[in-house]
Amino acid sequence: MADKLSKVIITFAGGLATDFGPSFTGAPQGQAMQLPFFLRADNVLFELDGAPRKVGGSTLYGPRLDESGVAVSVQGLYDFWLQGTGGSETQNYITYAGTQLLRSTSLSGTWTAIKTGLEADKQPCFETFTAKMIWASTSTVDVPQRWDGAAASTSDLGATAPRFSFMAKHKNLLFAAGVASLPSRLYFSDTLDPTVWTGGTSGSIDIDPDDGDRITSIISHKNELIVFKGPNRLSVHRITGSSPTGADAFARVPFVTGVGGINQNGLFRINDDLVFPSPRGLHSLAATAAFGDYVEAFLARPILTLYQDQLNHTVLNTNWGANYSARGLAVWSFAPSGSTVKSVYLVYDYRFQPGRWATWGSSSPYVSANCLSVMQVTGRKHKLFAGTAGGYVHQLDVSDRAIASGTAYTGDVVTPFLNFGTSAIKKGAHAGFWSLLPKGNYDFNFEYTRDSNAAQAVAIAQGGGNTLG
Amino acid sequence: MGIFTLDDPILGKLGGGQYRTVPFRMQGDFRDLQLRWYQSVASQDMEPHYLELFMTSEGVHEALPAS
Repeated sequence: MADKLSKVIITFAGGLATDFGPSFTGAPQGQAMQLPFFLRADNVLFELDGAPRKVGGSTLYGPRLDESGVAVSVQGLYDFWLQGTGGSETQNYITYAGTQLLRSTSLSGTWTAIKTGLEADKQPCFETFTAKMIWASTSTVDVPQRWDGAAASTSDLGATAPRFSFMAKHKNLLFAAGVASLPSRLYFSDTLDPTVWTGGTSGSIDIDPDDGDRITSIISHKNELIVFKGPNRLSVHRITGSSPTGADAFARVPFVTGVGGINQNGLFRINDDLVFPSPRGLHSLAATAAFGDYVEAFLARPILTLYQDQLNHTVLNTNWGANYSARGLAVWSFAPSGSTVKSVYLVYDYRFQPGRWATWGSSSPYVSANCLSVMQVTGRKHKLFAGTAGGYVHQLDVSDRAIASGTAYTGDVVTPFLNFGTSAIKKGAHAGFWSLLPKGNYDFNFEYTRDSNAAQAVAIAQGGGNTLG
Repeated sequence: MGIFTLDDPILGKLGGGQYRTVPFRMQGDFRDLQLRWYQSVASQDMEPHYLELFMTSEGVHEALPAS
C-alpha cells in the first residue's frame, strides 16, 4: 500500500562525469538532493547555480573561403592589434586557410590575401611582437613570416630565422621551437628583433636532446618560459633567468616527467594557471606542480574515459584550445574516434571549484572547430570563433540557438539513475515541477526512465500556463 | 535566483525575470529513476534550474525472496 507522498527538490551541483558510474545513490537531505554529476551535458553552459542552459548558436563570419572555387580548410584564426604611435589602434583578423594567409579589417567578412603559396593544412602559430604579426607553421617547407599591418604582403621573418613551427615572446625575446631537424632545440632571437637569430643576444638551449620526445609547446608564465616535450615520454621544463648571459643567465630546470604536451595550440592560460592536453588527459600546470602525474590531479579526471576512448588520438596533436574568459570557460576541440573532423568540444567551466565539464557536439552535432580563437568584435567584446575544415568562420555562442542562423542542434542533459537513498524500496512516481527561466513560448522535452522501462516523455511548456491535471 | 509566483492555480508568471514553475504528471513504479531534458529545435532555448519530484513509497516486500 502506498505511503504518504514525499517530495524531493533536485538541484545541480556538478558537471559532466563519465567516470563516476551510471548511478547516484545519495539520499535526499531535508527533502533536497544536490546532484553531483551528469552522464551527459552536451551543448550546454552552466549557470552559477549549476543549471545547464543550451549553449548559444553561431553566425557566419563572411562567405566560405575558397581557392579556385573549392572550399579550403580554415587552419587558424588570430586577432592582430597594433597600437601605433598616433593614439589610434588598429585591428586585423588573420586567418591561415588553404595555401594563404588572409586579413580582414572588419566583421564584413571580406578577406584579402597577404601571403600565397603556402603549404596547406599545417598547424599554424601566431604571435604579436615588435609591432609585427608573426606566423609559423608545422610545414617543413614554409619559413616563418612577419607582417606589419600595412604592407600588401608578408615578408620572410629573417634570413637567419630557423624554420620553426611555433613561438612565444618572453623577456623581450622571441623564443621558438619545432624545427624538424633539431626537435629538442629552443631558439631565441636578438633582443626586440625577431628578424635576427644569429649574433646579438640570440642563441639556443637544447632541452634533453634525443630523449625520444620533441619540444611540443612553449609559453611565458610567471617570469619563466615553460617548455613542454612530448608526445611519448612527456616532460615539462622551466627556463629561468632574464638574459642569455650574466648573473641572471637563462637556465633550464627540469620540472616534471610523465606529464607533457602534445601541441602548441592546445596550451593556454586560465586565471593564474596553464592548462594543456597530453595523451593522458587534460592538465593544469598548478596541479601538476603539486601532484606530478598523479591521476587524481588531472583536470580531466571526471572524463578520462571519454578522453581516452572517445577521441581520435592519432590526431590529438591538432587540437585547439582557447580561454573563453568572457564565459569562464576553457574550451578545446578534438576529433572523435573514427573521425579526423574536430567536432567535439571539451568545455571546462573554471568559475566553479572544482571546475565543471561539459561537451559541445558530442551527442549531437554543433559547429565543428578545426581551429578556435577568441577575437574582439564590435563593441569591444571578446567572442569565441571557430574555423571549419569546410572553409567557414563561425562566431560561436551567439544569442540565437541555431547554427549559422538556421540549423538546429540539441542541448541535452542526462542524469545518472537516482534511487533516492535505496533501490530496495519501490517508489511511485506521482508528479513533478520544473522551475525554469522561460526563454520563449515553446516547450522543452523532459523524459524520465523508470528502471529498465522505456523513457516516458513530457513536454514542458515555457510559455503560457498549465494547470496540474 | 528568481522569484516564485505560486499564488495562482496557474503556476508561475512570465516576465520580470521570474522563474516559472511548470507542473507535470508522472506515472509508474520505480526503484531507480533517470532524468533527461533536452531542446533540439532551432532557435529554441532552455534554462531549467531545478526540479521537484513527488513520489510515494511502496515498501520493500516485493523485492524480497520468498522465505
